[in-house]
Amino acid sequence: MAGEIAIIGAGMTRFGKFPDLSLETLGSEAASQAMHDAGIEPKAVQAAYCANALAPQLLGEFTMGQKIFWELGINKIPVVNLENACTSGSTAFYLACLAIRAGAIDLALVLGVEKMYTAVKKILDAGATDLETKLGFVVPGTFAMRARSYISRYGLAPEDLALVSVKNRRHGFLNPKAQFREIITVEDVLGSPMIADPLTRLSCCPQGDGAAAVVLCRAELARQFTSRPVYVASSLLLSGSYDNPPRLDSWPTDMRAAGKAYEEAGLGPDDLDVIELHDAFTIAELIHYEGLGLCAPGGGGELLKGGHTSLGGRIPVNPSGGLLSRGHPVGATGVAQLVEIVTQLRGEAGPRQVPNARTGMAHCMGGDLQGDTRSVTINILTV
Amino acid sequence: MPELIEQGLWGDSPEGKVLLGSCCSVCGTRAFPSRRVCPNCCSEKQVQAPMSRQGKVFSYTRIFIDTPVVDEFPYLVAYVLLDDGITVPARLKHFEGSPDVGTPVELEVGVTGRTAAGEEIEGYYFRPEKGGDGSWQEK
Repeated sequence: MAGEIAIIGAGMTRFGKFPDLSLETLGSEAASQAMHDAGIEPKAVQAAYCANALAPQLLGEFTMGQKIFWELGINKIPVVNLENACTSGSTAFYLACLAIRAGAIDLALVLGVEKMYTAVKKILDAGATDLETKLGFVVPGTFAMRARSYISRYGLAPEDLALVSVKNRRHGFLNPKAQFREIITVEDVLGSPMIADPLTRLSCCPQGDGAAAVVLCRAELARQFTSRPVYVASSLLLSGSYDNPPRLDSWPTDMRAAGKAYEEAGLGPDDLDVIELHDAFTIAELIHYEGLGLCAPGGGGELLKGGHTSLGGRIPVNPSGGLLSRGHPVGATGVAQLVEIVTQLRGEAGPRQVPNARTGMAHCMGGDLQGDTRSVTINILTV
Repeated sequence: MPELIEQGLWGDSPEGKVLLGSCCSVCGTRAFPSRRVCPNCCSEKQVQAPMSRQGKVFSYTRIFIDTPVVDEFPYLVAYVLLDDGITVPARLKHFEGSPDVGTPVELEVGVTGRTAAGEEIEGYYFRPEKGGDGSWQEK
């Protein structure tokens, strides 16, 4: 699919705690920014996708896309509301790519929006009727078990694991749209309250409010709208394999998805200049390094400690601050990662710019089932 | 009578309570909870199968979140690798200190939590295996 589709506009709100801003306000702000950035009128949008994961359970709201897009003057077109856990936004982008590739439409708007600071306080679980949930499993717990398996197999000091948070906070410090912009130390991470041993509070991404949007179109139309199109080299969505016993110290589903994405793009891990990946918890970033082929299994700790995935390193990971620092309004995250890669490839990332970035990857993962993920998305973008 | 965490998860055997899973009549793949379709070969010929009462801790964590359905704080959850060769999700109870990956455990059925109305929930959990060095003691 390399070169068939271009992203021509990107926008996002700041991520954080915004009790006074509604889902509609956040969503329309990001969507407006993306359309202004693309230089298009609302009537140019031929299909619109609204990704949201939690509004039905936290806010009692649903089918928000039509309401948000209606306020912006977008109507009489296909509107899809979409939930796919943490990959909701990137799955919406995948579907928009499919629609354009199929020739059904020329131009689409993809919005991800979430509002998690509400009166309903809830630690995320895999789903209310899952046996795991009824037994007391919560999302931080399943990642803590991954950490335990990884440490048991490869050995990894708590200080090294904490470095993921320290790095991503250092990156987030440079991102004006990040939820957390304070630099923290290994001692801060290890000294914060224990959530699920060995993961402390600062080893886990925060809840947050925010929205992000992109406009995409058939590649041959892109130059009508912008002098700086970013092309989609691969867009991929897969479910897990749910092997039993599960692999907790590696992620076969990552490896399968990355293999397919690299093949579709005609690229390999060495061709990537910048990556946004799904660091919902510190351990996840290390396992994803290995799943995406940045290093051999068990080599994630050394890759991190060597500074190779920091800004200025060989392959900077999560320059936005990642989920740990930029924040994780669930439905918005998959699109926010795309916005960061677009910003990097356009050379507009300011102090967190990866020099001469020409190829970037956005990797997102959502949901738990049987010790595996429910969905993984990989999007590879180029200029 | 306590409320069951889920119907049909366990039954009786001469050795005590056993988890009831499925076994594929075509390829022999076992699963817990029971599957209608084999996760390996997709056959629908599944029969009920008692699972081993013994296993080892595959991975675990101690959770410090006040979870409404759980009757302890903090509490242990784990994937337990049964001697049948498959893992099951479970609570761990009656551990004096921390378990380890590989610690031998055995099944017990009992109270694992409470409903919102305060009713006891009967579920299953694993505890340190009795015997061996005799280190396990009823609390």
